[in-house]
Amino acid sequence: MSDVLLSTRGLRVEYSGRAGGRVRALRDVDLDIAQGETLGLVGESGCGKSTLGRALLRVVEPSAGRIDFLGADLTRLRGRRLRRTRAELQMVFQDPFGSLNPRRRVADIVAEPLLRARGASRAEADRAVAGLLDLVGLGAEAGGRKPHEFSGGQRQRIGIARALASSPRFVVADEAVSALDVSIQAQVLNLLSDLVRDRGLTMLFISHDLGVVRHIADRVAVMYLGEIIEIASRDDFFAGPAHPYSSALLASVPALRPGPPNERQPPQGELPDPANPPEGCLFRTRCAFATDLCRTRHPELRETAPGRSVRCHLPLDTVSEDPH
Amino acid sequence: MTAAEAVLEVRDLTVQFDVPAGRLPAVDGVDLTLRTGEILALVGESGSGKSALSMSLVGLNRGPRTHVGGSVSFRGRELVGAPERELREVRGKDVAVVFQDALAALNPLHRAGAQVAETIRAHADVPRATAASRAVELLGEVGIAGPARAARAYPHQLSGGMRQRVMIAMGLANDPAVLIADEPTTALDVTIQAQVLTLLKQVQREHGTSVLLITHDLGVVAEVADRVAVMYAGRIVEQGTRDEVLFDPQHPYTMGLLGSVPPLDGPVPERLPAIPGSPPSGVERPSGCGFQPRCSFAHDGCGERPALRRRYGGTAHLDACVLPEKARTRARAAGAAV
Repeated sequence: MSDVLLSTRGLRVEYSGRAGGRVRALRDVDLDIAQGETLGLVGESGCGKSTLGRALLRVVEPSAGRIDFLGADLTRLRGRRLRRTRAELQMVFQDPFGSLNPRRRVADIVAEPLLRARGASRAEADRAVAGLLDLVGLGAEAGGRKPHEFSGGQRQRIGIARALASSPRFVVADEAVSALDVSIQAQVLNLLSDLVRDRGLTMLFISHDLGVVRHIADRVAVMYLGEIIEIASRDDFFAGPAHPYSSALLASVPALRPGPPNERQPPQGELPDPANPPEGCLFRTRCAFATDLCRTRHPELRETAPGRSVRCHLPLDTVSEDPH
Repeated sequence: MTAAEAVLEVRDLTVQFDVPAGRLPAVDGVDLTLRTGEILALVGESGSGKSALSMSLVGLNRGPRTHVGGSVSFRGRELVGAPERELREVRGKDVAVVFQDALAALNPLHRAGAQVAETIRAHADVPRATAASRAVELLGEVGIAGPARAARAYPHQLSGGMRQRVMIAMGLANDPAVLIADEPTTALDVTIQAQVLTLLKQVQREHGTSVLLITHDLGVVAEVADRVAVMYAGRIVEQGTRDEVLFDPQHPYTMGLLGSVPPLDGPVPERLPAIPGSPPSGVERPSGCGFQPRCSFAHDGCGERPALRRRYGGTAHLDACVLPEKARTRARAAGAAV
């Protein structure tokens, strides 16, 4: 891929499990994110998508692997260099209520990354904040008010203004529109796409909502139990996912289309215990196509078509119609 | 529609909450009929009043700060203002409620099976052992693999999807005529949501249960609903069959709502036709049409409160908009609709 802005190799995050074992939240993730692209990261609760976003920002510490960004391995940065690099990486959170300090004025909330990471002066920050609040459609006068005076959608705009304050190159949006009502969600999505285009932002857009991802992402990556199991261009992915899990995920989304509703087959069962994952392919316990090979050998993420990689021994194009 | 078809009839229902700023009109004169054996979806965004409405149906939001007016009749029996003892009898037996947050609704100290059994024994005089074995059966019927083991588990030991199934099992324990499901799949992952929606349809089909499904998710509505009522600012603004409301919307709010959903197929629009502004949240409400401040087609006629009325001759497709047909066609052409 040309112009890679951020890449990870073997990125791993582990937590101590309840029973004393290690739970692998991220399993050796290799990912390249191109300059200026929006990569949609999808998957269900516990798949590791938020952990990946947080690991990129060093909000959680990786236990192995590297993150290459602007000529440095982020996992090795400390002190002032880490702070300076952090100005280039910002995050928009899901919860517009919990992520803004209720006691502070909006102007101070938005200015914080500028003052802290960029070392801007107060006067510079004030000027920038007024511009940012205008940019996100709130107007400069919003700066004097406190977060509770705003609606959910407006608070999310404040969160976006804050994330943009230090002029980052890379933004992680973690379920950034998920808590919003659909009419407000559309407004915030339009704002995000404008900002990405006008400011040349690169974005990792984490969401459980496939419709939203289809709207905003250039490429889509799917995670399952801490692994990336498929990555493809937006159009290829939605035209026909190649991993059986991606396909099941897409088929599970209730679709707003005329005619009789889907008589579909939701994937069987539930997510395995991440502390005790299956041998072989991690998805095989819920996969309609699993074979002996899937029980014994863990599949690699391999390129099956230009721009598409799949972690499956029998990607869907090669599977016959009838699983039995 | 004949009276025999109606299992739950709501007439001019109002729900007001006392808040520091005054009286919040959460539900502002709603008429709604749930017919026997149907799934009726009540759709709306936060603050539309859909949950306040559903809670009021069986007296779940009583209190000194809540004022409920109008009428809710279950098979001819008036529920608004009925004594709590009478309502308790109706709840769980005739009308069951399934909430979004199963973890909060289940008692953390009691095993899942015991809670289902307790619901059975609250309304039927059966021995403890009979109720316990019926509970395990019910857990099996709602699709829990290993129901005997699940019955012995405490709520926190079950996954979100399993807990929601336990809630549905409790709801079905006494074979109710009506199931009120308030955002039952909102907290669930999409593959688990698909399983629970399939289960809801199966319940409707096999038990003939009438389901009032409260949801904000238009995809879910398209998937399971027979009929749809759209709520905005405490009022029903449009009502009709699934196909009428979702694929031939008449009210500008319904059109805007549908246009705001990013589609899963077809061309990807450059921008989503979002509805400007935000819904009213305070005690002050616009006189006349509640959607007027956000409506691109508002005109002088919108200052009067529009009645929910029939647009076409024979059908029961209703909407509360005074916009003339010509302007409406323009609204649809503007891309507000799907």
